[in-house]
Amino acid sequence: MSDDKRIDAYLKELGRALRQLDEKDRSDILSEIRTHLEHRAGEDRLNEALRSLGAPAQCARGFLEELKIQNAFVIVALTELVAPDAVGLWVDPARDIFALGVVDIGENPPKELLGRWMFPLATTLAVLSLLIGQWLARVFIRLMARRRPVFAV
Amino acid sequence: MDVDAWKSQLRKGAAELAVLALLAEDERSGIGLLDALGERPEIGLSDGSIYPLLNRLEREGRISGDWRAPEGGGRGQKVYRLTRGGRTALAQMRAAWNGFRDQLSTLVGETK
Repeated sequence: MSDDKRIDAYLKELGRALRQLDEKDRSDILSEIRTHLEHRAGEDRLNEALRSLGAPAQCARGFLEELKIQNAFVIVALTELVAPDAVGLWVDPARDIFALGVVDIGENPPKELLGRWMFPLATTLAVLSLLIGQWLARVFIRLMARRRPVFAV
Repeated sequence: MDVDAWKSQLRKGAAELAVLALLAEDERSGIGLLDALGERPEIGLSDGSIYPLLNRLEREGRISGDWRAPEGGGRGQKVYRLTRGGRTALAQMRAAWNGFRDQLSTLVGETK
């Protein structure tokens, strides 16, 4: 198989493994990995690059693991219960600080805006991201179920 | 003892600091960063680990990436640079790293 075909096949699988990302993020990642593989192919190092990236599913996992946003909201909500001083929305335009979550803000802390509202906010965001995730999964399953007869022909 | 698992943990934070420090010198693409890191295999950044890291740092607003077309034509590449927030983070991480390294070196001892 030619280098171009191997790259296309790898990116097709990677795109599938990244389907839970939105279109813009996915296409940005795929373009960057394509540039990388084409560059390495030009250096005659495509095999080495593919080995280093790992199988498409493994490569995708690297990106997805960096995106555990839902878990982060849950952690923020739970930490608010046990260590409320460590959690909040900290803003200080003069020092270019904007931090939302569990933060060791150190001495001379900037203004904290949310106070006790942090728990309901983080809980709502966690529940919302869970519900949206489930809704998207249901839509996806419904779409796939509709398409099955086409594949069966 | 499984030293590889321990090394992997050690490298996770170090890789982020290394990328920010390299981008503070000059803007670079993923390939450019890998080439610059090529002579330092102990930092442990590979083709497979650098792009998820860059993706996260961009989401966090520490770096920003722009697609640029090469002068001679051909496919563009995404070039990253530090943001203002990234510079602040780098300064804090550098200070933390220096303190950590000094204290641990005293504790563990340096062999030459």
